[in-house]
Amino acid sequence: MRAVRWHGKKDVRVDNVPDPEIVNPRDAIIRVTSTAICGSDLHLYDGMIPSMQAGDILGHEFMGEVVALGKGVTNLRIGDRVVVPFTIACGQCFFCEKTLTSLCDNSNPADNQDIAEAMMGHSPSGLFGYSHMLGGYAGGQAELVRVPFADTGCFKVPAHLTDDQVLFLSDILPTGWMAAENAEIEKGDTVAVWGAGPVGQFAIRSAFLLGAERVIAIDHRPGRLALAAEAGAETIDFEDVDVMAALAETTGGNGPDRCIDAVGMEAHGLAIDNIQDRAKQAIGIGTDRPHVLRQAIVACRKGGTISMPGVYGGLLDNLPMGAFVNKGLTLKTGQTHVHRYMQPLLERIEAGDIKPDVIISHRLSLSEAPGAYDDFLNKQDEFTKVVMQP
Amino acid sequence: MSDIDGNLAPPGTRLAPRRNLKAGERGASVIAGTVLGALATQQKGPAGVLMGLLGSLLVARGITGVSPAKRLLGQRPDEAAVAKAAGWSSAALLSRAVTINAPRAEVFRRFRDFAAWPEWAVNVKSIDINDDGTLHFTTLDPSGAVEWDGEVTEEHGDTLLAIASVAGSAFPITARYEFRDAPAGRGTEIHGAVAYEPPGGSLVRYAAKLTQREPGIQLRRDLKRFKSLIETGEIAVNDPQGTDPKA
Repeated sequence: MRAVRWHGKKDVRVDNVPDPEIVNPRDAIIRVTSTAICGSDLHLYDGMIPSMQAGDILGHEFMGEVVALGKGVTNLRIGDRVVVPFTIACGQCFFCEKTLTSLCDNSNPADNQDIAEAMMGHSPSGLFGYSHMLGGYAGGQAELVRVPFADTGCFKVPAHLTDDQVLFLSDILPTGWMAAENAEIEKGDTVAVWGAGPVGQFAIRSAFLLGAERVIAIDHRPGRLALAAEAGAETIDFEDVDVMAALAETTGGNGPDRCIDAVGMEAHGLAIDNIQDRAKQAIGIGTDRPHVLRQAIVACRKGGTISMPGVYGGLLDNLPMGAFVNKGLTLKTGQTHVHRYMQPLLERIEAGDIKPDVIISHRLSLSEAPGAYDDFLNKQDEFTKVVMQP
Repeated sequence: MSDIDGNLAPPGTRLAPRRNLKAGERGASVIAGTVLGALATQQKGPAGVLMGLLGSLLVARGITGVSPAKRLLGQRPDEAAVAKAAGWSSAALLSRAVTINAPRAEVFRRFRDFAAWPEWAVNVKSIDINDDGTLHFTTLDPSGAVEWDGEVTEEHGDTLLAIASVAGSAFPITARYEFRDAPAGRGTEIHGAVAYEPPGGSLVRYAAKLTQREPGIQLRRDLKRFKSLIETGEIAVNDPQGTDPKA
């Protein structure tokens, strides 16, 4: 089969590889009908995530048709049309029983858990196509993909909804939703969202659905800000406006009640702290650029909440912890517990509350993946979301 | 396994005392440092500075009786105690705990099923039961497959299982697994501890770690694999992953 593979920093190729096979009883093989490039794939593309190996198949936002099943899967049939969560979860461990599926104890193979434990103390769940620390699983930017614990993971979708409408249930729609949920929004709140990429877009829409009075989107891509404005957000272009001053003024001096960092470890922008972080990265003594997190802590109103769906990979420094403590802030974060949100969000899609396909800017074939990665990274204003058909 | 002196100090967690040098070692350190310092005065350039620095470190080591390097690399006191009790030249002692979301009776019964060990214990090829009731192990060590006999040395209900190689074995090893109810009905904790005589001493032990066939690494991974098997009915694997480049 053909698959999109990572060969190194900014080196992604479409290669022929052996077809996946059923290995464990609870496996399924999915023939992929739609697969997307996620913003977090760009962290891999940029070589920011440790423990990638040349030849790893990328992709963790995908859906398709069941073509083979292990003998332990009884709730699926060949031909079922399913969306697959990017987090792999067993369904039976302590964490899965609490629906904290991105923290599953069992889906990251024991050897790979060692890498995660060395870096983080404990291993989160395995993910599709997202480094060996997080499972070393082949991803879904391919014609076929093996889905472990398929009885827990594969989510059947009704025929009357198109791929474009349901594909993002695999990651970014629940991620945006959980970002808003983690922000602990109360009716009437003002929510600031840093990053108007796909996750930010869904966080903005979810924040309104969860009772936000105002949402302020912060980015520097006019196209993305326009998309945010379509959802009813007010916008700040950080190239033109002093973000901190604007946030303070527009909230009557209080600061936003809730702040969502939908940017993560690779913040853009010409700021002293960001330049310092880049310099540290360049000489190998730093990993992440938490410019947005620093800004959110200082901007947030006293007693507010910071929700952090953005991906961070390593060690952060110069965080304004004094501000964080003295302002009594709360920080909530985590990889998305996708399984928990699929059914309720499917109902939201069916009811027309959320229209996930609005963020799709490009529909390409799998063979166009290398160019698509490059464009998604370098032409962010034009490329909001790339969906590929294998 | 259990608390030592009321402190929470499972095997493998106790550190050597900070002041870890004996009187003889301290004296030798001071003398060596002084000699090195004296020689340093006869040297010119960076070599002299370096020798002087090393000499003063040795003197400081002798006077304080503290050697962080020895503390880091040498045997810990609990390892020394195990070696002494077992009559080994040295011991490596490792412990690991895991919580399994299943009742203790079931966890113990599945764990006690030696024939099923190869399913979850990566470096165990087979465990057969000899006519005299002892266990015949075929395991993988850094040199390849090895065979040895072991026996159950202690067993209490479904709370404790201890296994050891028989006396005179070429691979002296003991393992002890305690099964406890996790708090608030959260399943079963297995507290495993493995002690062995590293063939060739601690250097070979580090070499074994590189090949991943070291009992401490095995204990850690095997308990996870066992947990996965009990909780989910299978053990997560990530292959085939298509990592071999095909044209």
